[in-house]
Amino acid sequence: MKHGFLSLILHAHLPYVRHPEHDSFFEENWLFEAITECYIPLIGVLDRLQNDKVSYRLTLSLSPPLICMLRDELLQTRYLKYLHQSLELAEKEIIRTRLQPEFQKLARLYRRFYKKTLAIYQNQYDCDLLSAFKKHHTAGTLELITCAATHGLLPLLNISDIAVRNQINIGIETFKTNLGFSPSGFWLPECAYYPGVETLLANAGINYFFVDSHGITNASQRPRNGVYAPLDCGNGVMAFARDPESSRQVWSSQEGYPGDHDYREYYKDIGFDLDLDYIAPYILDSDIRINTGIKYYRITGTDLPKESYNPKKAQAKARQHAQDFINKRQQQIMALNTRMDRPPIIIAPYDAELFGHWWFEGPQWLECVLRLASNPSNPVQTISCSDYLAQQSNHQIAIPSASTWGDQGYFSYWINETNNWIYPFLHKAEAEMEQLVLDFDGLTITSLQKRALNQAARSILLAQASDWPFIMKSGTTTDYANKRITDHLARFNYLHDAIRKNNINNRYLTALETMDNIFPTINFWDYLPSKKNNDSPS
Amino acid sequence: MKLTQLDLLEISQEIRQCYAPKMSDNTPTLTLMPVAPKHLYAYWNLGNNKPPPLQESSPLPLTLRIYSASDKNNYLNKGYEDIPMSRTQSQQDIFLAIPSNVTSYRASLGICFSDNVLEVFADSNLTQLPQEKSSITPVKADFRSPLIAINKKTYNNASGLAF
Repeated sequence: MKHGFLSLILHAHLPYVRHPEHDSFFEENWLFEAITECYIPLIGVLDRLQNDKVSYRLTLSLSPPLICMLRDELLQTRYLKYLHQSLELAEKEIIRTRLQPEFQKLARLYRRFYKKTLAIYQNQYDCDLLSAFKKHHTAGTLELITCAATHGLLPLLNISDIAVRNQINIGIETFKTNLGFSPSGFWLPECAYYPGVETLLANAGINYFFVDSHGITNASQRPRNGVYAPLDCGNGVMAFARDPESSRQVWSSQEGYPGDHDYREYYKDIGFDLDLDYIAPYILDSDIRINTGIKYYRITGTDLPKESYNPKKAQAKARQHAQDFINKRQQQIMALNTRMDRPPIIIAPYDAELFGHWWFEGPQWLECVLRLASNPSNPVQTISCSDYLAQQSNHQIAIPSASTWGDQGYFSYWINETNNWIYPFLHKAEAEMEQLVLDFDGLTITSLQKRALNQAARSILLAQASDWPFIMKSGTTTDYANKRITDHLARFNYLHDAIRKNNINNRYLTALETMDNIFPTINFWDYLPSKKNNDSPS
Repeated sequence: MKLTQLDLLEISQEIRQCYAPKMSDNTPTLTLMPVAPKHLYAYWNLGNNKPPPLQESSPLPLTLRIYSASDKNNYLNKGYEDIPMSRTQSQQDIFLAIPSNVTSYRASLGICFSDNVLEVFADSNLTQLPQEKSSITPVKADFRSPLIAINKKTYNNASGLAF
């Protein structure tokens, strides 16, 4: 008998990194690494579970930029090139390590890994990974949901209702266009909630969203069931809270599974270890060392010489950690059952890119967790939030508290001395766009003006991505983040100026449409305060 | 219309150079943003036509007067909190000495005279701050956005640290 539920949620997101103006571009590798190490291994897990008729429920949030990139022909072509290059390097490594049997065994493993990845990507799914995810959604095992259009941090865009509304609605429209159905749930970027956003979610047809634990524990009413049952925000939209315990077990580098000494060491990659002459064809511009994905060592331990990676031992550890995870959820649920007026639901959300990239064995762990949870004798059942809501009714009504799942729990990671300069510009551009569209209301609009207005909307949305302030604060690829936000704002300024002066240059507009081709069906009238239902002027 | 990579690159560079973002709006504005409980961020633009006191040699302080949007009369018993603001900046972090049950705010920016009368240059939007009811122990996400958190320029080889 099942006593309670576990809802595993993976949020898959990357900023829009597509640079047709260059032959190749380092940041596009973010996507290629994620496809290779995270998304295709995840699809492999789902396919194996389906073949073995394992009964499970998993939720995957696909962000609109990721959806658009996975469907983009240029990036699909470039990804194949990247994958062939990885395969070539693995083959070269098999030769180089011929006198190091331990490493050669691993080099062969990487060759098999890349060959399998290529087979899944090119042959099995015809370069369309969305079709793979949709297959499992249709099978009833994978619930697909989505996120804001460019992952904008909604509470910091809330100077304008229209900005938030468009982040939500354009995100959902992109999902519907590409997946063919409406999502029931919505991933608030960075779990960033503010009271009132549930109204916009309800208007967009959303039934539920997620907040961090303190969003619920600090709600307007004390939550009767803590973070183990959703709150009805008062309009029928439900807020589910992240369970701190199951999050800590996976997220924390101190207590979490991914830091186990038997797992593969992320930081020791041959892109940094081997002679430059040898590795040059596989790194950036032949002279800037980057990750290649080929790593031969296990974590081993702090201040110890690194030992070689043993995949079988790591796999056994992943199974052990999966069992531990399930045991702890069982204990949690048995304890909660005595105190709650309904079956508890444990919400365990993670970034999808953790599994396979940082934590190489993450997909194996996930597969084991889902297999163990499917065992009929196990009191924990995996469930999606939609299914839970279909089974349970009469939820407590309360308004969650403003919160995020980021450092300190609020908004300070996205607004601080490293990145606060962006907000006056973002808000100004948004206000100018809304005024521009308002000024066009009632006028006849040419096809060139329509294209320019749509492109201006794309520029604003791309500038609003939460990734840019996140990177500025983390201090990593800050030059790139600065450049991206400056470019998108400059492109908006150019288009705004050209539209106002009725001096739109078709060549320049075509260039911007080529470079920023996200959201092909965008409708600039969405920026009108009272949204129109068609794209013709009144 | 077919454009080459070079065309795209040149157009991109030209637009970046000629249309880089700048604040040139002459309309006075004041914007409040939420950061954390009792912590706001404000930015403002008083426009080109600054009122006379701002141009004097010994100017009166620029003051942000913050009101509770929900209970204006009871906020700190006098209906508002005054915070001195920088004259040389156009943005500032604001830390409030407020009761924790107040979460919605508006503000006005201006010059405060000795009788507490504020000559207002700009009024703000309404903003909501998170409530701080219980201390939170957020689960530290050590693996946040792992893909975009790698710095290609300063990345160090084999740190020896397990993450």
